[in-house]
Amino acid sequence: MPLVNFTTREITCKLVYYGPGRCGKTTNLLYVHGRVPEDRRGTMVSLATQSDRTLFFDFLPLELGVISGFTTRFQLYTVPGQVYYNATRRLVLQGADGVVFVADSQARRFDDNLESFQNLQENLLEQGVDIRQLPLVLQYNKQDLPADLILAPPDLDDAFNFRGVPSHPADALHGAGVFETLKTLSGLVLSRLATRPPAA
Amino acid sequence: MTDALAAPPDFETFVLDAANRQAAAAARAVADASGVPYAPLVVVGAPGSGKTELLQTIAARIRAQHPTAVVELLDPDRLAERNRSALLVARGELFRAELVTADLVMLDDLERLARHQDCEGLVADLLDERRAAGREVVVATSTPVERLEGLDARLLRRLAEGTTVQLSLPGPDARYAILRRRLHGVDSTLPDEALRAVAEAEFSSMRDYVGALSRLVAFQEATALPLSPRDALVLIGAPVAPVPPAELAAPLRAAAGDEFGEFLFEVSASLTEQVDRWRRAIGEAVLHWGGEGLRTRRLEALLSDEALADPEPVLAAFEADAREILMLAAKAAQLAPDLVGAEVFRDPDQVTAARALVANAGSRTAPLTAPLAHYRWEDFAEGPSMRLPMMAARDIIAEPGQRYSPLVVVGASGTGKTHYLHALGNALIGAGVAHVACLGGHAFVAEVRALQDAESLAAWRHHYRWVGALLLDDLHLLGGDRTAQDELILLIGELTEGRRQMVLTSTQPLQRLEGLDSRLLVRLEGGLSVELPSPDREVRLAVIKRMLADTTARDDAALADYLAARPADSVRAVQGVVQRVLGEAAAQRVAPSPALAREVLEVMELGLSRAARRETARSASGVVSPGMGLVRSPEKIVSRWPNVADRLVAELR
Repeated sequence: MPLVNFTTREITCKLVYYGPGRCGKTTNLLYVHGRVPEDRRGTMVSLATQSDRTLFFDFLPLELGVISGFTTRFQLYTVPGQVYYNATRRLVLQGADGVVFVADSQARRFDDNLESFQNLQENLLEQGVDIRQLPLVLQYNKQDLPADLILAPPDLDDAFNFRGVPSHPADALHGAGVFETLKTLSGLVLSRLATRPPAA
Repeated sequence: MTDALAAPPDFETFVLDAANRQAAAAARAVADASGVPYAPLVVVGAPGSGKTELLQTIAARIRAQHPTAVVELLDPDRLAERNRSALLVARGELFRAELVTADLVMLDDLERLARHQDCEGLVADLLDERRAAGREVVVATSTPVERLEGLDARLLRRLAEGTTVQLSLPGPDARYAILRRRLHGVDSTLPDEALRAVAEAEFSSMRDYVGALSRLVAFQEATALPLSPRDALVLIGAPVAPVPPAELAAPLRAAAGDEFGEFLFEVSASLTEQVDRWRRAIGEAVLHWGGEGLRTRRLEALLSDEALADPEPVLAAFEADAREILMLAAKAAQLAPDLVGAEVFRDPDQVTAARALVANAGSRTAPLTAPLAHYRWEDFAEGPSMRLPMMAARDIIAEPGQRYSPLVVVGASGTGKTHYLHALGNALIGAGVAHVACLGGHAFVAEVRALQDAESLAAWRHHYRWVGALLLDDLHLLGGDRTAQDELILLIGELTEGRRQMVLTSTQPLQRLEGLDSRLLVRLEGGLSVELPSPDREVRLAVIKRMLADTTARDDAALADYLAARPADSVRAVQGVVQRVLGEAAAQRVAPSPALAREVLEVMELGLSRAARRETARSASGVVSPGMGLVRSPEKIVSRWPNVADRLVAELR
């Protein structure tokens, strides 16, 4: 659940971008960072290697201001995609209010996507989180690549979206689908704020 | 409150707009009987569009203009019921004739006639016969005639021949006017902007708008919170457009058209919707629990902007407390009916106090020493000398605890103090005073002495602390017992504070009571002290008559007069005299009579006293008068009379 502090009237949501290495998670955050007014964004922390591979995680705090009396903050995280950083992924995944699974649309990355998606489910399960209960959005990135190199969104839906969660085609490098994905996930996360049924 | 919103229907205040103008004009023509019969007039409108109100308005206008006019406003269920009832008593034709000759017949919810096929022919005939007689019929239906299913074809043809008018959902202005009119005469502080917002909300029927209005009025009544239009919409569950907060407005405008701006707007909308949902849930809880008669301050605080609490646990905790309060109230009602309606059982914020009260009430269920039932107020003989105590008793029965508390009744032994006390206790019970404790001074002292420890003392105090009235007989018996007096002082304080009645009896006036603490006397003197005097002749006569009532001498006025004329310093003495006469009559197997009474009370007493006197005379030098020990003239001493015959006559008398 999003962290709601009623004493200080603050809402903090932790959103995690998950996916195989080089699928475009950091690119998503960079695009968001580039579109957020300076007074609304914190410093983006990106721990990357010389070859631009995320070593630890990326972190982008967003200050959305006071909404309905609550100071609202979104914290966007990415996980390192490489297989051997699983411990870090688990750490970042802890307490996530929602997850964007960024899939690389290239056909040759299909197995990597599959492996990462299974890894996501396993890591959530280890933390006692049922993926069916967690707000999840699928993003099919790199849809700007030539059609013969990539799988179309319906094909990717067939492969990954058997639970029928929201999915968006994207080109994170140029921004297509980036904010759509973020908006969809935010909506899902915020809708869980008031899940209590009205008084009888 | 909802009933209060149901203003009497009236064409003068009927709100017209394009949606109902034609229907209203036709209805008014029917009511005024100024036009050609529509034969029949068919009013078609969706559920909640105001068809029934239109029919009621017609009926009300006709009755206002022609008080003796017969207007039948029926629905198919009622029509079928009346028809079947009439057929059962062989008055079917009479019922039909009544419908044919009525000044106006109106049938609401026509589509439901399909459920009563036995009445379809009746309605078709009715249309024919009333049309032939130039009399109108008005029917209302939510389904256009051509789409009515399951109805007799002849009936449908007759309906199709009539005039159809449509009633649609009025526009926002008309809705506002209708709602405004509904509010007329209702003491509501609902802001006009909120009313306007309700009128502009999207509902499918006017009934929904009126329901929403009732809800808001009830909410206002329950909370007295100011309602903004937005609050009003949230409370009635109408869609609310997301309004970005002021702080966001400028950045949003600046970011309009860019991706982050759109994102921010959507997040605002989502969050606002969630917060509104909380507010709606809280508002519903306020209405629900307010409807149960409970205070909802805690929830109302949540609705205010200053509330700094998580609504979910607060709401859950409030609901748990509210349920417990209701449960405690029910329990208290069983244990102590006088606690019903206590403020503490209406406030979920006072659960702890309510629990304590119920626990205390539990200790009150231990039986109190109640007044003896056979001492009845109506049996208490009243004479001129009893005027003051009787007046005090009547005032006490009328207003227990409000006047003359404590009341101290002073009287010598046998004057009727105990009867007075118990009879008054029974009368108080009859007047609705719960938990009347009536005990003697001995019992009170014994109870206090039996208290072994602080716990039992506390329980005992609690036991009496809640009595509705305390009646203590023989106060003088507390003399010298400091502990019992201390407890009585405490108890008097508690009961005085609670304005509960206390009555005490004593053989001595307060000033002459010995061994009583001055603090106790001061408290008792704060009330009223009345004296029960020796019974006067009227009291004696009443007592005697009551005792003779079950004997053969019940109508013997001479006997009653004779007995009442004898001096007695107490009621008990009077009762003793009557008992002696009745006992002697039973022994002699004769009816009680004045002669027998005289024999028992004068001759036999004389004999007894003479024997006693002989003894005394032998030991004394003088002559002793009967019973009084006074010297009397020797001529009165019958035993010394020289003439035997005289002595015998005197003895026989």
